[in-house]
Amino acid sequence: MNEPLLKIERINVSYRDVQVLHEIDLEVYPSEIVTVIGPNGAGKSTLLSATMGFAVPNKGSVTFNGKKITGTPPEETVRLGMTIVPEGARVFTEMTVLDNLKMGSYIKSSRVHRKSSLEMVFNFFPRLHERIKQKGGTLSGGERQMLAIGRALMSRPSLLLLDEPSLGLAPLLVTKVFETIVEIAATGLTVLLVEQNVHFSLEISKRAYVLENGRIVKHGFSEELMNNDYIKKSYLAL
Amino acid sequence: MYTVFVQTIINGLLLGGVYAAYSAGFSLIFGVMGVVNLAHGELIMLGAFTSYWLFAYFNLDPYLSAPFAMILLFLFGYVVQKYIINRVIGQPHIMSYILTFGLHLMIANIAIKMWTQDFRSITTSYSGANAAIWGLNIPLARLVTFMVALLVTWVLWFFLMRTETGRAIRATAQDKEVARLMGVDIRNIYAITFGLGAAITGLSGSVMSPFVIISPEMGLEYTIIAFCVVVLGGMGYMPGALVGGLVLGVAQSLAATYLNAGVSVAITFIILFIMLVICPKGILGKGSVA
Repeated sequence: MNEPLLKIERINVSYRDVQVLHEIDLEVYPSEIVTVIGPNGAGKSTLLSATMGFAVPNKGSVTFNGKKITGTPPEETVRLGMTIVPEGARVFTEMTVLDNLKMGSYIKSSRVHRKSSLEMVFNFFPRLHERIKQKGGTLSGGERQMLAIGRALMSRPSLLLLDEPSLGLAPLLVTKVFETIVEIAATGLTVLLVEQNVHFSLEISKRAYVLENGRIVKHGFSEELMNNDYIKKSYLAL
Repeated sequence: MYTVFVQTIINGLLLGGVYAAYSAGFSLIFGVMGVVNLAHGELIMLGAFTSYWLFAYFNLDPYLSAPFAMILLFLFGYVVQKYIINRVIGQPHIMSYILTFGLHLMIANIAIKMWTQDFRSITTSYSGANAAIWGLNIPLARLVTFMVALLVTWVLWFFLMRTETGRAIRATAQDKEVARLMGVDIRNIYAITFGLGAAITGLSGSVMSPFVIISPEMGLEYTIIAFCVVVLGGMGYMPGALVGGLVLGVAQSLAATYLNAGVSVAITFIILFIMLVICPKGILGKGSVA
């Protein structure tokens, strides 16, 4: 196997005085979809925060593209080719759809590709093109999620982190969002997906990690995990 | 009777234009950073003094020295934000009050040491000039300031809406964490924003200099008015400063004509009080965020 695009080694992360993550090891290889599943409060979002650079691990290291990025702030991390669709989409509500997307290509290296990036995003989400002049705050939940994904793609990342993209969406839209993630990954993008919707995320991913109480309790190929008794019982309600 | 009324409204609008000119920067700084800049009036003072000294030594017309005031104040604001105010960003609001109040005291007192407490004024050929049209008096210098207020609001709006940096400023104002995810260095954006706010405030001080009294201690009263104007128009909403300024100017002018001059200041605070009770988001209902 070739070198991992993202390599997280034995990181501990604390929020205020509480240690949230313990000795996390995680690897993502180029062009993979990797998912991290686990219950609410297991530390999934914190893991992404620490990867992106919002939270600084007090131990361990994060390596991206062969470069140590432990403690690199997010505004630098995005320049290295990693970006995140934050939990709850967090579109700029007072800005138009177009301005939201343009913000996605704020960094100089992606600004030069802005036009073609916009075309690509509108190809994925024709709906956004129809709403181009509307303010972010007027969009529906599903459209906001599309906008947030589109905005992330605008930076032309090599690794896309997704934090609970299906959260709060109607079942039909959940399916649509997961289909889009597969389509996006098919273009060669590497995806690290954090989800509570275990069924769908195992289905679309190649490998998965199970995070409970801040520790990785299981990991392996998603297909195998889907048939694992523990996973079936705890997460898939089978 | 009719002429008096129209004259009162015109005076009010022109006064309001002056208010708007020097309040826009206050609104911008609050809207983007949530910092209530209690040293705002000192920026006006520094702008006015820039014009004063250039006039005193080089006989340079205040309107021609205005660009110098802008550049000087931009640099001043940028440095103050980058090296001083950025230290309290993200801390409770009270920290920025204490810090900017300290800046207010320091700047005013250093200015007194350097320039003494003397009241100064710039007397130009047009200082007292009025245009008389249909029996109405229009003070020219104030008219120019009014135009500057309109221009500043428009240019600022355009800058915020149409440029990369403007867009980044708006993004930072709305969600600074996500702005960072987009690759925005928010500390630099803060410094630019404060610089811009200081620049347009310095510009207003400069274009006001032909008709106001200039002294190192002039700042505080302007800070108070700017605060009222911005609360009236909606904190952080750019066109709000213009609307708030005009409303306040006209109200004060009407009070001065039909009640008495002493009441006009009281009117300011009565309007502010009512506004905060019934509509804290400002007249246009669009508080915060550019």
